[in-house]
Amino acid sequence: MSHLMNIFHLGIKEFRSLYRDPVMLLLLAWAFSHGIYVASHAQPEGLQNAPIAIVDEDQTPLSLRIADSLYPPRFQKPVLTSSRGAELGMDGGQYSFSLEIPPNFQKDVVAGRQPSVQLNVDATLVGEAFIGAGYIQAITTGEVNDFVQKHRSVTPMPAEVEQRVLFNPGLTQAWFAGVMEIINYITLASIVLAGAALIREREHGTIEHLLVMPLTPFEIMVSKIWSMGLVVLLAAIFALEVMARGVVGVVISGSVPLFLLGVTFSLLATTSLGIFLGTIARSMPQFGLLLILVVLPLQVLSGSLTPRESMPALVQHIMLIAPTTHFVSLAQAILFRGAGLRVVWPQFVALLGIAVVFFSASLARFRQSIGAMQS
Amino acid sequence: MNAGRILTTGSPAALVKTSGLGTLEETFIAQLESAQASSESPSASPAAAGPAATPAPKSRPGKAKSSGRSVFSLPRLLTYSYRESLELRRDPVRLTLALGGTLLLMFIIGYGINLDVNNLAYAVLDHDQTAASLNYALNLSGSKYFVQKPEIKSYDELDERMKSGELSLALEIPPNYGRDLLRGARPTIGLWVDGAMPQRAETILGYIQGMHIGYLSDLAVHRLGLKSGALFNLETRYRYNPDVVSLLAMIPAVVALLLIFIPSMLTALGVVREKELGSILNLYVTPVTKLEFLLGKQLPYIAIGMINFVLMVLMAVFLFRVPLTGSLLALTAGALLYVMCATGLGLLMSTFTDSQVAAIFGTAIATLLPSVQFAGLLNPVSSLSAVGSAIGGIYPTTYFLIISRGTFSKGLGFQELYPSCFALAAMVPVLTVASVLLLKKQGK
Repeated sequence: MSHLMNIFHLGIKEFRSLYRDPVMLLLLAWAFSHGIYVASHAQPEGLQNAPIAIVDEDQTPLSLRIADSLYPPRFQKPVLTSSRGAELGMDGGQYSFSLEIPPNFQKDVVAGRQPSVQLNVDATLVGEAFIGAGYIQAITTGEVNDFVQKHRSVTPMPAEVEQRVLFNPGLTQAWFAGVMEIINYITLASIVLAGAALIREREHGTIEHLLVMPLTPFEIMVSKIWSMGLVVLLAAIFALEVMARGVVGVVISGSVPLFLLGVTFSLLATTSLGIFLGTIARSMPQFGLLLILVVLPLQVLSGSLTPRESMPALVQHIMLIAPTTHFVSLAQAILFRGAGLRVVWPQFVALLGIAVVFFSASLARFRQSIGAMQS
Repeated sequence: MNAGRILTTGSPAALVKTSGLGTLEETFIAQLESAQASSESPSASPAAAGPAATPAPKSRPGKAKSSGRSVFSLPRLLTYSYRESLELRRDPVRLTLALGGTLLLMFIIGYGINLDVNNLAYAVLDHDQTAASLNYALNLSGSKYFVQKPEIKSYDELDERMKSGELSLALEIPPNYGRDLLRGARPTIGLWVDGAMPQRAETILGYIQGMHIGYLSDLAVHRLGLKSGALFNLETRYRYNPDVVSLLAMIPAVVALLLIFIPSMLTALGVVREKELGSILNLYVTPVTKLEFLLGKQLPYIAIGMINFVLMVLMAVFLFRVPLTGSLLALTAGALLYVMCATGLGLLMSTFTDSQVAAIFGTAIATLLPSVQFAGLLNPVSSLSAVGSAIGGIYPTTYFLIISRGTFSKGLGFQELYPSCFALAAMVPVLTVASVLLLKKQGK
């Protein structure tokens, strides 16, 4: 019982330290409120405002019609320019696409000579390249067909495709981006707070204060984990309910309590990871660097930015030991697909396993370093 | 000592004797008074260990300036750089992390971020089970973008497998598909797409539509004997990256990302660590100016940033085989300006935070989010929302991405890239001035 009371009081001490750091509190508050808003509206919804240039060497009603058919919100108003201008613009990153309509285009189309139109795509923007090229193809084909047939028609196809998008019917990028950013901040904040709490004590010498009290390393570690975890959990609840649901308007299909249980499991894993990094790093500058080196792959390769299937198999396997991979997976399943425990239990188990591993490793190292201090 | 100048030296007893006053206190006051009186005229003061009044050791020998502080002193600045590099040299772990860690990250992220949307898992719910329906399903199974999973047997199974995330796409072929197709009854194929990741879903829809049109024209030509009726050809050229290989597009971007994360994190603790540990007193009590202090701290990290840059370019060209088609000089100049911005950003975060935790967290937010979301990594800056565009417009990574992509993939040189270089160069003094203004020269 006294162990629990010790852990409780030590946690309160951690709260007080955090409370005395107004800049940190401000940063946390910003991250989980305005930060989420900015992130969710950062990415364009689907292909949007794509800059395109048109080189019109034909100057006939058909070519002008094609130029008129590309308009906001998908594309910015096309810039009519020369071939050299389009090339320079694409080099400089001003245009993502440029369409070159050859001379006598309308004449050749009407005569059935199948002229060629060239579409240049900036393939360094891989995400946009395919989607944009597809749209431009569909739009220009439709315009040319309509022109030749003199009226708008819908040609019946021998077989139709009826598409249904599940789980996010509007394909609203803001929902996805907003929730993923909450997850990223949860991971970052928990690792930073937990690890820094440990190193700060070592640097300021207050760890010696703790050592002269009847406290065990286990109690010291657990107190940091529960207190910093709780802070991040509260911030996450605020971000989810007020920001994601309220401001951004995400429609959550699944059970929020189940998701919060997942957040708790993930926090166990990430705070343990933070403490582990804190035991490895000898000073704050080292911790800062180590943080970047660890958090960057953790976030980028977790499946929150780009889909996991596209990553090389080796990377996919290695990332299975990362807590973020499982967290992102269960978050997508619960929040967007409305999955229940029956579907996501493997992720919960994995997170628990990772938490146990990092906690034991940190405890062992912590005990070792305290033993070295005491001797 | 008075105002940083040594007035006199010697043992306390000897000093009292020389002045002829009774106590050390009165001797001290007399010395101060004569020093104040003669502060207009230059006085030669020997530099050595001072009297017992102040125990703080003099930080640098031979730096006594008689007529007050000069506005800018290069030797003072370089002294601080020397001190910072000593600290770096005495912490080899940090140096190894900075240099080696960058290479490791480049390796991991370069291979890991793959923007190609492929290996999409799909399955077919085939109510028809005739040659025609199998033919349609073959379109997908033959594609390099899709990976076929075991067939679906019922609607419940479709629901469950889509919910669990196993399938990104499910194809439902209605009963009597083959018969209806030949009869001209226009059957409808059902397509279920997982929308949880919108960008992937959009790409899937694009692929399927293209595939469907291809299937139909194929059908028209082979099955129904019609002529291919295309009115014109759209020839698509993917420039700068003809095979649309994700690696060629990502490596220049990874260089840009790493060059802002690592240098800024290196300098992020530069000032706030001194604040927390107390050695900021050196800034408060010595004649060094804020500008010299900050610039002096920045220089060694700029050097490390450039070493990082060289290593990364070597790795890109020789390990990843990403050719440098443009001007190396333009890339290096851009990188130098960029590293100056990155270190400046870290120092800025360092000046206004009070604890190292806050500085680390603040720098992480200030670099991780904007560089990935607003700098034009995945979408061009002009296509972002108003807020996004604005942030992207003032963020250094946006401009360096243009330079990096330009010199690696597009074969550009100074002539085309100078606007971005100017933009980066303009940010350096802004960051420096902001840091100088926010740094306090006096303690509270």
